[in-house]
Amino acid sequence: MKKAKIKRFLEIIPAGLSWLIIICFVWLIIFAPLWAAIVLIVYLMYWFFRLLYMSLLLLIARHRMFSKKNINWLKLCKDTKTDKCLEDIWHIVLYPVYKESEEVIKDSLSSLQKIDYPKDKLIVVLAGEEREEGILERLKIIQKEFQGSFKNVIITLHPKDLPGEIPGKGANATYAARYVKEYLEKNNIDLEDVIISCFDADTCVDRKYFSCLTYYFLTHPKRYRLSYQPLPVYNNNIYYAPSLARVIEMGSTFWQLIESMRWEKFVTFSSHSMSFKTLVEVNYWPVDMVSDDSLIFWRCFVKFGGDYSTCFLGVPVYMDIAVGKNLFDTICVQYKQKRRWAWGVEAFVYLGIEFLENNQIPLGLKIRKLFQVLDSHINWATWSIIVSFLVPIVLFWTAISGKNELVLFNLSYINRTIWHIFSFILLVSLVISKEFIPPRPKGVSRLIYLSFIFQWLLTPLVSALLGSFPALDAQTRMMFGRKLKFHPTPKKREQIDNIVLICNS
Amino acid sequence: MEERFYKNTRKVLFWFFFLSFLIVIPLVIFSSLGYKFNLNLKHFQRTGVISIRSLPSHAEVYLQDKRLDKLSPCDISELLPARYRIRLEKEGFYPYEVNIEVKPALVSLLDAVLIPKIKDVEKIKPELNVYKFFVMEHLFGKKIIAFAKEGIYIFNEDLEEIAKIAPIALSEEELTSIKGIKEGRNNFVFWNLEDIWLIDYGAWGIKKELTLEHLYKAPEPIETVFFGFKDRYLIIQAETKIIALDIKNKNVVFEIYRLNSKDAQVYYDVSSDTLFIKDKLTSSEGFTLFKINVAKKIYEKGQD
Repeated sequence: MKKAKIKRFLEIIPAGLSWLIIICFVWLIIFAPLWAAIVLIVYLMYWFFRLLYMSLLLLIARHRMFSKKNINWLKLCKDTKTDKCLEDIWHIVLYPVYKESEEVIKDSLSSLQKIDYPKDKLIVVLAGEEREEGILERLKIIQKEFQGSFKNVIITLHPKDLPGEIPGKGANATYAARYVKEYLEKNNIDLEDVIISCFDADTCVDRKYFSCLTYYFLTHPKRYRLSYQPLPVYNNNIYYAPSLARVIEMGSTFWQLIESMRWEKFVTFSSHSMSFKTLVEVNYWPVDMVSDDSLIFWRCFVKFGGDYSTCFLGVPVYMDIAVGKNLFDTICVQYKQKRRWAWGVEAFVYLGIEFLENNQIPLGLKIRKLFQVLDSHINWATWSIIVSFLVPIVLFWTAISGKNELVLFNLSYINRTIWHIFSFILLVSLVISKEFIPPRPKGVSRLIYLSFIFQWLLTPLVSALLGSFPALDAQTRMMFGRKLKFHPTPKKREQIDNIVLICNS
Repeated sequence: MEERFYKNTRKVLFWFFFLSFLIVIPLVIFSSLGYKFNLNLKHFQRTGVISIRSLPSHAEVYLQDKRLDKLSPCDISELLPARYRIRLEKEGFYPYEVNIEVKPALVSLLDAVLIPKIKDVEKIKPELNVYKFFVMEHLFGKKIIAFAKEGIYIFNEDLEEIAKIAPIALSEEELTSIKGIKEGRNNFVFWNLEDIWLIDYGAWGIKKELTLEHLYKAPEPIETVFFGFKDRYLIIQAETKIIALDIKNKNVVFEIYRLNSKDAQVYYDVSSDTLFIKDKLTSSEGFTLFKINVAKKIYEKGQD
């Protein structure tokens, strides 16, 4: 009972704080505009430094990633002398599937066929959902086609309506992983030697993904206390996605690059890998939560007394840009996807409850982690509303009311400076994004490159529309005790060009 | 490069930006509120800003006769409260000078429109001896009517000739004494103290050669003329008489009202065919304002 009340309280905190910040700003603007201007100046200056800092981190992260471009990871694996060797390691590649087309899954498996790693060490698991009609037949066709390419291709079917579960990727993946555990034990494979990669169905791996992953696993002194995070690059359907969606997803890739530089804050996101032994120890992915990808990290963090981190692999995996039937539908799809990501704020609730019962983790670390999660989600839910709406309202009000206070005048000046910095970041983004664009498929006009350049002009619109609102929506739903359904992102491609570009040697 | 290098670089960057923020933010807030540290007096003083905008932009800015290294639009900040003389100069425009008071923590706005120096004279093409001219506002632009020795010429805004009546049978005395001009439907009238003439021009730009017709000779000096009653009539104020004249049948002339004072003032509203009059209703009273529905009057006269 007490735990339920604490949980409810923790659910209210993020949205409560976000709304409090927004309401306080609005209140100040109405009743004390000069104070509002001072607070907004501080806020804009904070973003001025933060944007500069992040753009430099982005450049450094890009440098770090591309400096590893030509490394022969497989050779390094072979030459490595640790307690384990390359031959010991097994890879489980788990694809939870729900409503993805056969083509999407086949493309993902085709990318597995092209890796530089011994494929007989790969066991592919296609985890279907019983609630999807005809899935078994479709997966069997795929299994038949790819059976010979890997050690094994296993199909699991997650039963519908299992008690205590919410339908979603986490529940499906957990069901499949439990089955795989039995399979491994039957085949006398030591769980300590197994790395599981849980991929979205549209994930096409880089050629060097598994050799790089294995190298880090073999050489890291705390291999079981690590999650291994590739860089998600959303470019499978980049030539067929609207500019708006391209900008958003490229932004997500950049955000992951920046996050990869902040080791202490870096958590798993989307497709990632980890030790199977560790996964079993933490009782698999959460089955009753939406943000399974980040919560598996926090589950490990709690289980191992804070001695758990995420290792950035520096190798990309290629995924689909979420698109709809038309532009409006694409905006809706993107909105829902971002809202689902923002639902990751449930990590705050999870950690709050777990930390209460956990004596292993030092209090300082607990506070730091709680603050870290809360800070990132509150910033997410408020920054674009403040910068894109509240600041212009103050400036507009200043203009129409003929106010001539110096502080309002300076707010306008600082706001202009922030937008200049923003332009600089757009330029950095434009340059870096060039390196994530695969070769142009046949039949696509060269003119599309112009849209790849000018798409960045949409950034202010994108940040205003899809910057804070999905996050505020997710937090508000949580505050009112509403649940978020797992909306699988539609995966649709007109043509796939799974071209390995970053680490192609 | 080693991971440690990236970690250290990131740490250095983080602390650099964090400390920069902590150092810069108080300075920015103080500066935003207009505070400036006076090194000589060793204390803070509140300053103000002059924000200068000009049309056209890129004018040179002079503060107290000293040229600043900036062009308009610009802001002159950190000014101690006082009156400042600002001058804007731009080649081809008259200098703009103004005294502006700067108040602490406030922005004084100077929004100046610079007037160009008159250099180029655009002359009408035909060589004319112009006695008088009038500008008539028209839906599709202005029309300039010039009364010259050589005739009556109509020009557009670019002084291009649209139409003319030349030569004309009006004397120099008549042309120089023209008092006014009014436009009606496909025609306009002009008058001096004694006569009213009508020019029929058809639709603008269609009828190149215009016709001039003498419309009316007034027994008393003409004050003003209006078009009225769907442009069929002229409403003429001739000293104390208000006369209606049918344009198509110029023999139809009748008095519709008699004013009491020579100093009366008349305005005719075309849309309602109403006369607004400032006049004395009796000789002993002062001036008052009243109106007469002329349409009704004309109708009554027609019945007679």
